Amino acid sequence: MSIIERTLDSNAKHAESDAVAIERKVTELYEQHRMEIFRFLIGQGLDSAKAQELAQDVFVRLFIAIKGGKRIESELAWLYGVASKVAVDYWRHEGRPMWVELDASPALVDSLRFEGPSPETATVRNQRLARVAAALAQLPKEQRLGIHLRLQGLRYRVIAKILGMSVSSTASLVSTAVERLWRAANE
Amino acid sequence: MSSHLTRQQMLLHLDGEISRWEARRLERHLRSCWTCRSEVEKLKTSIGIVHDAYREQFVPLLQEPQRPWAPFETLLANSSPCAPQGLWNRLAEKARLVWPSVIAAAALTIVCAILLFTDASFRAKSVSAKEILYRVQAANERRSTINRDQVIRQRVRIRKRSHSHGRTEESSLDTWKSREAVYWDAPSNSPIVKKLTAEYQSHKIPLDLPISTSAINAWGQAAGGNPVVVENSEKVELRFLPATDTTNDPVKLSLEVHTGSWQIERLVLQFGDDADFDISEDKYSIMPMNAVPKDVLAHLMPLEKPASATTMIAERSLPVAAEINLNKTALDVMSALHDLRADLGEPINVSRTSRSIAVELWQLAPDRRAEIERALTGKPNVEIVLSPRNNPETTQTESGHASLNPTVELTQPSQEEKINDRRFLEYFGSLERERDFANESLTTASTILSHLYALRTLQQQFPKTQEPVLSPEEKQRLHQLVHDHVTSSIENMGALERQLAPLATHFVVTVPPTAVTYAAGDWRTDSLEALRFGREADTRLRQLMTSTASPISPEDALPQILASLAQLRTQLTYVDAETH
Repeated sequence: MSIIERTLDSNAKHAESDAVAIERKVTELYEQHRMEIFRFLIGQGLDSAKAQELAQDVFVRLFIAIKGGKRIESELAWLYGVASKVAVDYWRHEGRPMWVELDASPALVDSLRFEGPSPETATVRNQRLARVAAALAQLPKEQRLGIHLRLQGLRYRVIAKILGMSVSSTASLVSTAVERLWRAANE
Repeated sequence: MSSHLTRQQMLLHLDGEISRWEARRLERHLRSCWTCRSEVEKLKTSIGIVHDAYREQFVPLLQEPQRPWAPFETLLANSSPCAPQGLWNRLAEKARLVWPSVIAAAALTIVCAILLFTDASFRAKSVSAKEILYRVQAANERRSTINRDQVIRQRVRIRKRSHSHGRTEESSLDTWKSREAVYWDAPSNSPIVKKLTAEYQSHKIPLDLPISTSAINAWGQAAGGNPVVVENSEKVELRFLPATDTTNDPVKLSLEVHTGSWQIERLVLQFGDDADFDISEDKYSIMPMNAVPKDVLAHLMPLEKPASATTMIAERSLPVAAEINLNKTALDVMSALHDLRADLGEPINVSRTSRSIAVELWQLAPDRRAEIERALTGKPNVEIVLSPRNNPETTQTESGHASLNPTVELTQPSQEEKINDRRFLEYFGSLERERDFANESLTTASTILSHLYALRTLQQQFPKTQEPVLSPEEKQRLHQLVHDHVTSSIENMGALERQLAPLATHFVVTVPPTAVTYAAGDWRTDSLEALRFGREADTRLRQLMTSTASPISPEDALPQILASLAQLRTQLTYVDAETH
C-alpha cells in the first residue's frame, strides 16, 4: 500500500470511528433520557404519539449537531432546549391553549407510595399533592415550561437562554409559578 | 428598616444563582428580618411540595408511549438515507479526507481577508444618513412582511422625561397591524400614551406601528432638517437637526439604530423644550389571526369585504356558458358550516371569487378539516382550500431574542388589582371558586361574541347590495341563519346576566339608565351595533376578571357590563324583527 493509500485509509478509518463514536454516545443518551424527554413533552401538553415522535426527533437532531461539529457543553441541557423549542412550535401551530391531560387512574393513585405516620395524614398529603399536580397541568405554558426545566435541574442561565429572556425574568416567572402552586396546595 | 426581599431574590438565593457578594448581603438581611426569613422558609416548603407533587403525582399520571421505541440506528437510517455514491462523489469524499486542514486553513484565510476588507471599506468611508435610512427601511420591510392571515404585534415602552421637573414617567403600549388595518391598544389611564398618540395625530403621522419606516419618514419630515450621523461601536445615532430657517418650534428627532440588524432600537421625540418621549421596542412578533384576542381582531378586520375575492385562489375552469348563483352557493356553505357549528370563531375563511366560493380549511386540525370537507364536497362552485397560499411561517419571530421566545407577560399586580383580588377572594371564599366563576363567565361572553361575529360574517357575505338579487327562498334561508345566531346570543346573554346577578347584588351596583337606541332599519347595521355592545361587555368583563394593565373595580365594571348587555339585547331584538 502506498503512503497516499495508507493516509487515505487511516483518515477514512478515523472519520468512520468518529462517526461511530458519536452514534454510540447519542444512542446511550437516547436510551438513558428518551423517557425523560418524552414525559417533558407530554408535560407541555403534547399527546402521546406526537410527544414520542418529537422526542425521537430531538435525539436525531443532537446526533446531526454533534456530527456537524457543534460544540455542546451539556447534552442534557441541549436536549431540553430543543425539546422546549419543539413544544413551543407545536403550541403555535395548534393555536390553542395546551392543557396537560393527567391519566387519573384510581388504581394508580391508590397504589402511590406514601410516607407518613398514619394513613389519614398520608391521604391528606396525597390530596394536597394531587391539587398541586392538577394546578401544574393548568399553569400558563411559559410558567409550566420554566418550572419543568427547573425541576430537571437546569440552571436559570440555561433556562433563560431557552426561553429567550433575562435571568431575573426567568426567576420571576418560576417564582410566580411556585406561588400559584403553593396556593393550590393550601386551598 | 431596610426594604424586604422580593420572591425572585429569595428564589435566586435559595437556588445559588447569585454572586457571593449578593448572597452575603441577603444573608445579613435575613438574619435581621423575621418577615423575610419566614417567607424564605415558606418558599423552601413550596419548592419541596412542588418537587414531590411533580415526582409522585404528576409524572406517574402522564400518558405512556403508545408504541415501542425504535432503535436509534433505525431513526438515523430513516432520517438520512444513504444514496450510493458515484465516482465523482467518492473522489470528492477522498479529497475532503485528504486535505481537510489545508482547505480549512485556506478558507479561514479567505474569510478573514474578506471580513477585514469589508470592515475596512465600511469604516474607511463615513456611512451616510441616507445609507442608514435605506438599510433601516430594507430591514423593516423584511421583518414586516406578513400574509393576510397574520398580524404583527409591537409593544413599545415609552419614557417621558420632563425637563422642567426632572421627572421620568413610563408606560407601555401594545400596537397591532394586519394587512388591512392598524390598531393602537392604548391603556385608558395612561396620560403619557394619550399625549404621544395626540402628537402622532396632530403631526399627521400615518397610522402605522409607532416604530416603523413610515413613522420615521413622517417624523423626519416634521423635524424639518437633515439627519446627522453619530457612531459608536455597535450602534448608530441619527439626529435630525432643524433647518436654520425654521421659525416655529419644530420637533426634534433622534434614532438609535443597531448596525447588526439595522433595526431601530430607540426613537426619541422632543416637542418644544418641555419633555422628551423616549420610545423603545419591547417586543415584536408575528402571529396567526386566530391567536389574536377577539376584541383586538375586531379592530383589525375590515367591516366590508369586497364582493370579488382575492386573486390568490386558483379558479376551477367552469363552462363559460353556465350561470353561477354565488349567493345560493354562499348560503349552502354558510348553512353547512352553521350545522356543524363551524361558524363560531374557528379559523375558517370564506371568500368569493368571480366564479366560486372559496373555503379555507388549512388552519383546522385534521379531523375537523375532514369533517367540514365532507360536508362541502360535491356542492357546486365551492372551492376548498387546504393549504396556505403564501406558505406562512408557523413560528413567531421576535427581535433581539433567541428563536424560541414564547410570549411572557410578567406584570406585578397594582395596588388596585391587589384590593380587587382581596375583595373577590372574600366574596368567593376560595381561589378555586373565583377561577371557576371567571372561566364560566368569560366562556359565556366568548360564546356571545362568537355568534355576533358569525352575524358579521353573514353581513359581509350578503351585503345590502346583494339584497335585491336574493330570491325569496334565499332570503328566508339567510334570515333563518341570522335568527339562529340572535336566539343563541340572547340565550347566552341571559345566562351571563344570571351569573353576574349575585355579584351585582353583593357589590350593590345598579345599572344606570342607558341611552335610547333606534333601529337602523336594516339587520346588517343593527348587528354591527350589537357587536359593538357585545365587545364592550366582553372587554369590561375581562378587565374585571383577569390580570390586566388597567384594573377596574366591580362597582365600576358591573354597571357598564350590564348596561352593555341591555343595549345588546335591544339591538338583537331589532335584528330579529328585521329578519322576520
